[in-house]
Amino acid sequence: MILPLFRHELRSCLLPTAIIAAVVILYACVIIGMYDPALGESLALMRDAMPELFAAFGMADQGTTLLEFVVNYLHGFLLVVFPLVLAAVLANRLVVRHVERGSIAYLLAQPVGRARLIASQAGVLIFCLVLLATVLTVFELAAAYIMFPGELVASDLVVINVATFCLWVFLSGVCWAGACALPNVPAARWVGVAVCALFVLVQMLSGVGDELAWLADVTPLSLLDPLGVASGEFGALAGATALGVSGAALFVLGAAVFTRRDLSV
Amino acid sequence: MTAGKAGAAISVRGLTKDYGRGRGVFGADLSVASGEVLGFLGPNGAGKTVTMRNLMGFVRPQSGTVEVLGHDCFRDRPWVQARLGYLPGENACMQEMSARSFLDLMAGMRGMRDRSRMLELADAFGLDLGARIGGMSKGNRQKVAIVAAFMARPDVLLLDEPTSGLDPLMQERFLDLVAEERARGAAVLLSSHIFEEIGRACDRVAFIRAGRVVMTCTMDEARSMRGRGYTVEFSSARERSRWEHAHGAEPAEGDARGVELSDVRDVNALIRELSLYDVASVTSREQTLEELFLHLYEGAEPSWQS
Repeated sequence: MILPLFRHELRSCLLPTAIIAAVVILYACVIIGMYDPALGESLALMRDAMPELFAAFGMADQGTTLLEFVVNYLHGFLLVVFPLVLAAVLANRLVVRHVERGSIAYLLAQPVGRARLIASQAGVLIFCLVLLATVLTVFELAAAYIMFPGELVASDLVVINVATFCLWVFLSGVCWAGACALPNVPAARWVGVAVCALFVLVQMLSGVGDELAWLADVTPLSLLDPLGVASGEFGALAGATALGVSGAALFVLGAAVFTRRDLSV
Repeated sequence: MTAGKAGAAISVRGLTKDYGRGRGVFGADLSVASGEVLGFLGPNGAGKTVTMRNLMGFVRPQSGTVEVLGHDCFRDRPWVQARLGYLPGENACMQEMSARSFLDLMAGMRGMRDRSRMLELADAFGLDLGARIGGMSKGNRQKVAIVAAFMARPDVLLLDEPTSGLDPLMQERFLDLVAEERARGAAVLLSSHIFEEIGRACDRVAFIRAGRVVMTCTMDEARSMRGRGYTVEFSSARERSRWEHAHGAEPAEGDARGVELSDVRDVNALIRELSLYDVASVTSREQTLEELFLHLYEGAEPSWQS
């Protein structure tokens, strides 16, 4: 960690983090507010009218509890896509943009070593994701407490959000590895996010019908089973751990390539 | 002054970095001693920046060794960069920052607590530290880069086109700063296209062409290599065209009756030849360093190497 650089980069990354946080908090609060039996019936009607569309966005089942309702409408799609956008923006801002503009030459010209430099930049990304997860959890709990006191078990939501954070680490690891390892700037900017978008699309398709259900086996996103994690199922916990560990491995892989590669800046 | 290879502050031996299609450097040798300024001259794409990138440890050499103060520039990057000041050819300071925050960030990453030299340099170059870099002129952005390169009082300075964008007054101040650093004992590698600047700032000059260092010599030797230029005024345009005809199809430089001859080494041969023509006057002048180097740019082989 290089503290002056970490502070500088964190300042520049706070705005996109705040924007994404505001959007997901808004969605979370609205969805928690929608946990109303009357509205639930109308949503059920809509879902019955367009079952494939709802399934594609991970909203096949409304659930019977507030936790199931939140997981169904939030964690299946929105809490995958918005953090992915943030991870792509931050990986671009912290690595690709410096290489593209040539400002990486000034950072590399300081006596800090590439491994420390890239670890510091990765630290900013992870810190922003932790910030997003923390703020989201706090607002979800507050909204649930205010609107439906006693309906949500806080520890269950926290565990689910930790597992979701593992998924974010994996997605940002893919973006990070691409940003650090690929020598071509457009490729470094887009390959990681394109691979993640492909995972999301495959998962959406897998929910559309039984004949495409097998696609769920080929996307790492299916390793996240929020309700399974909340109920302490071993498979769900192992899946979340696998996402977190492979995400961390991708960060290490990206950093390792970055320390060895030629930087013609 | 010629730096010995052993103990040189900057040492490049047999450096090869091939980017394909003839781009890169091929078997380059350079050495710069402490307290010496080596000018690094060559046309665009000759390999100057590639050599700098190797010295900065940004890229790994395919073969050869690149060392600063006896340490490998790629393997021992943090050690080398702690003793090195770098001014990149492409000015890419972080544009969204003010000059002060940028320089503070660079100083912070170096672990520099004392900002007195930074303020002194900013003052010497008339740099407004509060201004945003993105809103600065090219010259002012260059001043920020100069302060960043010099503020840590490094033992070795790598300066790639350092006066690009500076006005003549600031160029003077920059040359004074280089002289000051040389007197302090810093080794300086200065790449430039400005011949007068090389002539004034450098002890030696290395000329690179198509990735190969084709000549290294002291500035005094470079000056002694300069031929003389002659302006021959013929008595009539007809005499001039007769002379031109005798010298092939290429039109000669000069006005209607005159011819400009640069890099004349054998004056007796010139006099003998001109005696065959009706000449009104002959005036001579010393070839400028620029003419000497442009002669090399155009592909002529050096008359000797040191």
